[in-house]
Amino acid sequence: MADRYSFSLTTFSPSGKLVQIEYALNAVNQGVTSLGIKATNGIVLATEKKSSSPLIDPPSLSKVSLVTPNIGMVYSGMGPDYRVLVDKARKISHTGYKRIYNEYPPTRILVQDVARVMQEATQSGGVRPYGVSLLVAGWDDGIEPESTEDAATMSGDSETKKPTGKTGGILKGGPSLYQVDPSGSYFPWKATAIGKSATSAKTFLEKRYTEGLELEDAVHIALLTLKETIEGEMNGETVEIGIVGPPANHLLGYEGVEGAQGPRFRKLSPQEIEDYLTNL
Amino acid sequence: MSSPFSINGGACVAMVGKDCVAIACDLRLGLQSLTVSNNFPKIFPYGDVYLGLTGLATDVATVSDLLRYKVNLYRLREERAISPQTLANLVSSSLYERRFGPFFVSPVIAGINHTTGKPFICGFDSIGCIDFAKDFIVSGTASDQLFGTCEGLWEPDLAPEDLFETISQALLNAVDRDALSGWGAHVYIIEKDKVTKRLLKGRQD
Amino acid sequence: MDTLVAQYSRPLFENEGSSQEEQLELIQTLPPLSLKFALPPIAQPSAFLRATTDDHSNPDCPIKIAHGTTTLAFRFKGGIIVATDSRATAGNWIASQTVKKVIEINNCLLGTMAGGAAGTMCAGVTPQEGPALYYIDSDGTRLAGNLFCVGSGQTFAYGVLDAEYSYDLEDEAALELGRRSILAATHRDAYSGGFINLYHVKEDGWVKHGFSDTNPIFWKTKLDKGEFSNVTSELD
Repeated sequence: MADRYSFSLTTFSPSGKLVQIEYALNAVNQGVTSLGIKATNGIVLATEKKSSSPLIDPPSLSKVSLVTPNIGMVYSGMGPDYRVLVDKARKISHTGYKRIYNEYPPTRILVQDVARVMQEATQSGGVRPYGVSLLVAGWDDGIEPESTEDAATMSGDSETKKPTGKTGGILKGGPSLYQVDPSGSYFPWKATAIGKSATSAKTFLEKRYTEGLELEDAVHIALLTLKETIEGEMNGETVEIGIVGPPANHLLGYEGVEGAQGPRFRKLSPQEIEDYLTNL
Repeated sequence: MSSPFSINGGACVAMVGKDCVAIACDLRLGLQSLTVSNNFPKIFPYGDVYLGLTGLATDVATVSDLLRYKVNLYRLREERAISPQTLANLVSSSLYERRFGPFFVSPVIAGINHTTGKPFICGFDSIGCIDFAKDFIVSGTASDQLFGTCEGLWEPDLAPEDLFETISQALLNAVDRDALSGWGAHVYIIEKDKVTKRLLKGRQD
Repeated sequence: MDTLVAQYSRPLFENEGSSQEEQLELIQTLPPLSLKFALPPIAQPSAFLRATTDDHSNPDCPIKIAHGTTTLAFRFKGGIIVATDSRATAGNWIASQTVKKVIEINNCLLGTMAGGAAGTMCAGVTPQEGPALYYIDSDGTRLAGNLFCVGSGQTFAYGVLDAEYSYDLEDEAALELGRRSILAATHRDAYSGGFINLYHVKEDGWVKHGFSDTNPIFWKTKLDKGEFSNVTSELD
């Protein structure tokens, strides 16, 4: 009964705009910059961890989150809204996928699920849009781009139709990077940035990005880009980095189980970040 | 004899060979002793994965349709064909959803995984417990007989033609000792890029 | 008086079964204080008994008898045709495909068997009656008649037999009708099948006309005569 009187707060203006969504984007554009770069063998997500006071205990604050073992995300905009979305993304990856297929969702499926949650907030009664944009990075099992070419050259005279990584379907394995906006729209990127300095960061990334980038180089470029936009000091405490890379079997917590694979998504420790920064 | 699993009768078997799998079923549909139809296949294709369903015929029809719907939605959403392993988990969770009012079916899956190229078979109980097998899976009113014929005839690494002979003999000789199965059979031989479907003329008594 | 009676009388059933000595012997050969019972080698004896006994339909019947059968016999001008299938089932299990369900009583008398409470038939030629056919069953029914089908497949046999029957059938046609009726029953009835056992009872005794597998007969009937068009013989 309550919903009968809960009208949508997001309504069209006479010119055809949904100004609530534009306001949400404004909130994003005031947020701390985050960026993501896709490499051939992984992805890097990076952001600045800004403290409003020197009294804040930095390690308790976290902006880069693991959603599934192979998928992580970062945001620009409103922190509380982001945490709600992380909870919902983690939940739906199980209820809507793992409990049905006994495997984690591919990146695009998870992105679509999160995007649906965000879209529903633009069309439902009594709610406001989420004040965040997300960068979602994930690795999918399947046929990776390089191995497709190998298979094609090896097959020779065989007339069998081999699935290729260029079909856009899930047979395409390997890394993928998406941006999700408050409207619920999402975009696949090779490299991008969101938040306050998104425009200048993207200009910088356009200059530095090259095809065939390795993960190590991508982390390097991510830090260089962040350095251009960062306001305070840059160190292991003020920069947060998440990577999608090779399976991190040391994070399994056990060993000796055949076929067990560690998570591909992991956050870099402050020490690891410091190491990258000294080599900058 | 009024178990829902043996009202209509029927038998299904799947086997692993070398780079190939086979799945076969009988064609009978009965109402207890009365044979109603000689053309009731119990194997359903979902892309290049095959699902065999024995048990209560109304549930065979319902479950095969339900899974066709789910697999079609999966293909649209994910832009890829479902793998045999993923279908197995989908079947399992779909059956367990009805844990306290189950479909009276005993499913069997056979297929080749398109990413790994490896043959895959498995079977289920009516509430979705998966039976992964390296050799063969049997189901239906002739399952006891099928266990016997399969144990006797199956051997590892059979080539497609030999696998066809093996699964056909296993099925025909099993259903000839079951009053509720038989009346002809369908056999699918699944290879990486080829599927062969054959009709077996079984005894008609 | 009571003590006298007790002294000289014995319980009514004292001598039934084993004598007291025999019973004692039985008890004493058992290991003393043993708590073990000999159990049948079955997971659930109660369920097994329920499945293999038939106390519901017949309290005196200790073992469930296979009901699945089709038998038929009919009188015609050339004598009597007797035909049966040969399947024996226990539940859905086909226990045998080669059961002889025609009993050769003597050289001019035949009986047929249909298991359990279903009836039997007696066919023979007597000087008094000529060709005689009787239906008999376990609750005492005794019917004389021209045409009977008995067993789980009886309805299917009646279907063919009633449609084609005539008293004036020639010998060959009558034999073929008996064969075709059993074939129809083995096709539609799950508990009938195997071989067709065919007899012709004549004035000077019966003649056996084979114990033949239904399978080649079925396909010959289908392919040569175009019958059984319900059966698929090719993939669509």
